[in-house]
Amino acid sequence: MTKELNSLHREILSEFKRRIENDEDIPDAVIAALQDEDDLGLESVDIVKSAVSKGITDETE
Amino acid sequence: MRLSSLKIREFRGIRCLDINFSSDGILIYGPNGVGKSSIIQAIEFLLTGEVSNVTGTGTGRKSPTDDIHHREASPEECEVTATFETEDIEVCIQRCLEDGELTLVSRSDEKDDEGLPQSIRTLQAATKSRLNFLTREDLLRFVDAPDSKRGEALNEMLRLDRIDQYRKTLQRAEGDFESQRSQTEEEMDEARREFYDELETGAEEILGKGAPAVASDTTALEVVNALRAEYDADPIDDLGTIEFTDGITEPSQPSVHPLARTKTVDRLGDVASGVDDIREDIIEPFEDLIGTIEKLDSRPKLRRDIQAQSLIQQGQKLVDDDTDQCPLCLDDWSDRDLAGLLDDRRENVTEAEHLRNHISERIDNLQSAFRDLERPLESLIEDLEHEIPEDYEPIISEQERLVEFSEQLAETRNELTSGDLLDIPHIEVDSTELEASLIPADINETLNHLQRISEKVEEPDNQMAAYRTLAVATERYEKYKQTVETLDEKERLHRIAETVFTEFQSVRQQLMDDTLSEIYNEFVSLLDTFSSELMVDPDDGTFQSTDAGVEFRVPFHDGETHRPNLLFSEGQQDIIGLALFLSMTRAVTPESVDLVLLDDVLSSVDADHRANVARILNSEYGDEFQFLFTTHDLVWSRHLRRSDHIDSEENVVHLSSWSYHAGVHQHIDITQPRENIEYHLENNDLTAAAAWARKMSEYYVARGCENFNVEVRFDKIRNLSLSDYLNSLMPVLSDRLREGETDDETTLNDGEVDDLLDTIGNMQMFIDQNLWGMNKNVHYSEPEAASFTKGELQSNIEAFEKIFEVIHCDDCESWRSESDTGIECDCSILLKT
Repeated sequence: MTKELNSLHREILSEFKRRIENDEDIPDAVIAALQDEDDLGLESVDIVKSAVSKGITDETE
Repeated sequence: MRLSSLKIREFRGIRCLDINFSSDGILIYGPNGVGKSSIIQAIEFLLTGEVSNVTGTGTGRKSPTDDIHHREASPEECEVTATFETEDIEVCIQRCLEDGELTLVSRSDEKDDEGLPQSIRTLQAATKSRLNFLTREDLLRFVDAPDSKRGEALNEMLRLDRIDQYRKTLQRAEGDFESQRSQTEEEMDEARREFYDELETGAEEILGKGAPAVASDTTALEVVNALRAEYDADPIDDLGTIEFTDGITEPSQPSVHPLARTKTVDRLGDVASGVDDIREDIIEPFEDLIGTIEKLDSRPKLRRDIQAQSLIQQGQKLVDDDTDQCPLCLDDWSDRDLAGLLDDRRENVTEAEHLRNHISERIDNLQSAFRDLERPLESLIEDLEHEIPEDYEPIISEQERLVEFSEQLAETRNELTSGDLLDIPHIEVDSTELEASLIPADINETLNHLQRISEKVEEPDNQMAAYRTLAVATERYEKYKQTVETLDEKERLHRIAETVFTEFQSVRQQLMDDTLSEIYNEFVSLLDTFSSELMVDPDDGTFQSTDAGVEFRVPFHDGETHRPNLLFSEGQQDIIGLALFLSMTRAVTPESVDLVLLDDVLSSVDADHRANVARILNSEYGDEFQFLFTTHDLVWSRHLRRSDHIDSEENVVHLSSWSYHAGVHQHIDITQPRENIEYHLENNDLTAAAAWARKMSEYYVARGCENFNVEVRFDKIRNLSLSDYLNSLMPVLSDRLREGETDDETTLNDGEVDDLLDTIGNMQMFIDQNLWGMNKNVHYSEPEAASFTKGELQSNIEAFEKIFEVIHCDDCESWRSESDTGIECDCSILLKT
């Protein structure tokens, strides 16, 4: 999906991905849950909310 | 990926068109209505399945795209096939209108099972987003956009909608988590309050006035231990360790009648008092509210003007600066009392504001009055519903009545603030109806009944009361503790969502600003090259991201007070738009996308400025992209053909004409028209063959006039036509042939000269009789207008060919001309003079 976006979109998404991966305040499980192949699963609020919630749950488990 | 071949079948006005390209830029030119834009649309259809400028409704409620096949063909015959290539791979794809699916025809790496390569999908996405596709309409969108909408137009041109969607998604997710956190915090506060209240009430009843107020977990622990001391139970160290009743023997009758508790009786009194005052506190203010709303309703102008409040204020400000001119249309307004009109409207606004403020204030007061009654009522309901044993059955029905009353109060209170203030009243009842619906008829009876019960029930002893308080407090503490845990989780979720959103915003801002700055610098540079006089000081401009979009300020001569379309000519607007498009395309188009479609985008630009554009396209832009231009302008097409970007004649598609039945007609090469003539003769299309014969004749004869220095008589106000050239050239050629001498060195002998003279004579007769039938303006629309047979046309084309041999040498491919020796070409002497 990302490759189909224009360069600016791709750059923003890829830099965003790099930043959240390096952000210690964001659990790995959240980052993993937020990823959707090479896109970042940011299409809908529910996807993001479920990614954040699932990330926390996975980490707790 | 570069376009290397295109096959179009039965698409719009095109019936059959096959073109092969090299990797250079592509030029499609020809007059209006010959199918240039249809070629671009065919490429768009192939890549996206849509044709963006075909809008509206198709027949039978179909999508308009469903109707893009040629009227004489079926949808399954309508298809576009193209080959794209890079250094590594060649991919052939096809889309047929029938099923609308893009299919892979072949890929040179033979990985057909992998389907379309990513580079094609990227090209598809870029075209769908119109990153590589510019029409004049697109180009002018930015230029025409008013100042306030320019950012929006740019957002659209930069296709940042998706990034903006992501931003909004993350922001909403963060907002939702914050909202959940906030709601949980309220629930936790409420649970804590209930816990503290229970302990405080119990302590007051049991320990008397010396009981500590419960305002924290520490004081709560003190009270728990004080109550446990009634049973001589050991104090506990921490609220969360054990149940508060742990180590205490349960009394034989652990529960206390709810109405035996002082706090509950006090609440009952508060509710009764609230009901007594309900007319004064709620009904009468409500009557006043309705009256004020009706007053506002009866003056529609007040509503109108308050809705236009900000416009009126702005208008007053502008009029203060210049009362003679309308700030919007700039017409002379000096004969109108605009200031007076706005003053009157401002007074309306003030009055409406006053009424609206009163309504708002009244609603706030009513809300407060509702809450003052609801709070003790809710607490009373809670007290009554807690631990109701069977022998307290009589209060259950009374409690249900109170719940009903409470719900009615809450519903009415909510209705008061739903919707816009200007839309009220939502409550379509008068005060009498409100009073009747709001207050249950027997509410006083219920309250009195409860009061009577409270007078009869026995007060519990201290131990029983302490046990009951500790038991209830344990339960409430559990609930409180649970909400604290939930709040912790919600806070964590919110923090993460907030961090994710902040990171996105930060990345978006930084990268967008980098890219926008790159675009702006490129835009300034291009504009300076195209037309240096347009901008004043590029350093004054800005192109940067805002929280929600893009801000673009260009320092044109007017200091940004007017739109570019008011300042600049159409040609200048074209140049501004093209400079912006090229700079944006370069910055944001994925690297694998080479093909850029420019559909007639410089039609208003003069030749000198277009030469500047052509120079830019020859430079690094030409290396980076494969531009496909369409134009009807011959001069612009010559500029482009001379450019290095289009250095192969293969990539020049000259569409000469169009007809409904035959579709577009491609003019392959004027110096090699014979293939076209043969093709049409074979297909018995005499009109098309005649047209080509005419084109060829015009071209040859015009060159003949030029090379033999023939003066062409011209006495009409129109373009020179074939007959003008022929009537001038034929007598001269006849003279030269008669006067010429032949020998061993000449190409012609005497017999051939005589033969040529006969041919010229016969041709003159054919032209006199049939030239009208070869008229390019009539024969395509009227096929039957050709008054000659195929044989006649063929024999006369052969006659033309004989004449052409005098004008052009096919052996050395050069034009013959007169010299001191005679008529000669690069390789031989035709005739000596």
